[in-house]
Amino acid sequence: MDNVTDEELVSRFRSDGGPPAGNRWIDALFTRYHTKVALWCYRFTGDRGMASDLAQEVFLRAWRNIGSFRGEAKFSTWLYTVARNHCVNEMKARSVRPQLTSEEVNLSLFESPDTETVLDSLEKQQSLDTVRALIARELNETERRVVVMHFVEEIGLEAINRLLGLDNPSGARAYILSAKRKLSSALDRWKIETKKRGS
Amino acid sequence: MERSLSDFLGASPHCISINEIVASLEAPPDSERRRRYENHLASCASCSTELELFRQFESAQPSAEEANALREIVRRLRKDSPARREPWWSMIWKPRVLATSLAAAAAVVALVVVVDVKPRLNQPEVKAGDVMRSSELVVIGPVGEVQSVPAELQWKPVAGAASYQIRIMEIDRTELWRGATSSTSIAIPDAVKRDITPSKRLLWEVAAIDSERKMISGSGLQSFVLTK
Repeated sequence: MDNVTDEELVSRFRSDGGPPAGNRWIDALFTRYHTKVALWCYRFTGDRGMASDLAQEVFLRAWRNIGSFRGEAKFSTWLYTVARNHCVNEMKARSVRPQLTSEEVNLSLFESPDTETVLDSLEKQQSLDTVRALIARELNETERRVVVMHFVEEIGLEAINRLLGLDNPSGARAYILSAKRKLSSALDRWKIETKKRGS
Repeated sequence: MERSLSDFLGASPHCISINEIVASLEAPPDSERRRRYENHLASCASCSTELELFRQFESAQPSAEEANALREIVRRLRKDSPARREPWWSMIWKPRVLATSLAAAAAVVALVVVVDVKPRLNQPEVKAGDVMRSSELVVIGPVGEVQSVPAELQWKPVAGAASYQIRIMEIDRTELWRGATSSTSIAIPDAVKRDITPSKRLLWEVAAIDSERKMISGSGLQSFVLTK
């Protein structure tokens, strides 16, 4: 069965009329992903018991929704999406909050010498896409990933360290501080350029 | 209008799903599709983060510390697979399991015929009080504390039974072995005997199956432990 693709296993499940006759195909398919899902959940939670529960729930969710997998995409990306969404939602539901909130970052990451925030200043004259491009240009890959995971997905810093394999002393926190410095500096440059153009 | 961080860092209308990202990166290097998405990935924090997380999901290798935790988690996943909720005794009819069981049964029969029946010195003593009744299938043994590694599992015959399905498990119900026989005893394979060590409790159960492959009675879970 090792030579059979994931998608073919789902196809055989369907050919056998789904459950219960086709269960063995899905069982074989899920077994292939036990370690991947378990590791993902463990890195997400950092707790053996919680990870075990989450991994169980991921496969239960996948089992209940296997009918929605039509084979147009790869099974691995489909299962990843199930695992990712379930872990993000569950951690939010269990009130495992990140160490900083989006509101805090609006104050700290985008702090401006006057009362106006960087975001306020930028959006007055810049389009959303331009600000996105600025962020993409100023921040390195890891800084962008950490900022997105923490402030958009609300994933905790410790989980980010584990998921991205960050082994620097301060982990994700260091990348957030570095991102803040770079964006503040970019803002200063942008203000000077804007003044020059205005004068 | 007030903007939030997710407006700047989160997904935009230009963003694509992880399915599309992966598919586009598998497209030929000079294809328009791949070029377009590579450009998008270079400028989109949200999509590049998503791709990195998927790569971690796909190919991350556990550290030694993580490997310990994973063994336990994976063990539970194997035991409680949602796609394996059919009765355990019905699994015996799957070709691979049936072939293994029949081969084991044939080997036991051949052994008995060739060597003749000799006193079973290793057989655990079965006392009257050891006979356990659970459901309608009466188990003889081994149950409770045993003094030596048992050679076989025994039970009383059930009227109408065409065969018996047996399985042996660890205490967390991880299955060690399963077999089938038409007799009222079955030899414990050597591989399982090696798992029977002092103070380690094992579980087993037997189901009586009729000629239409329906379960007519079961023993429920039994347990035994080697005392020395």
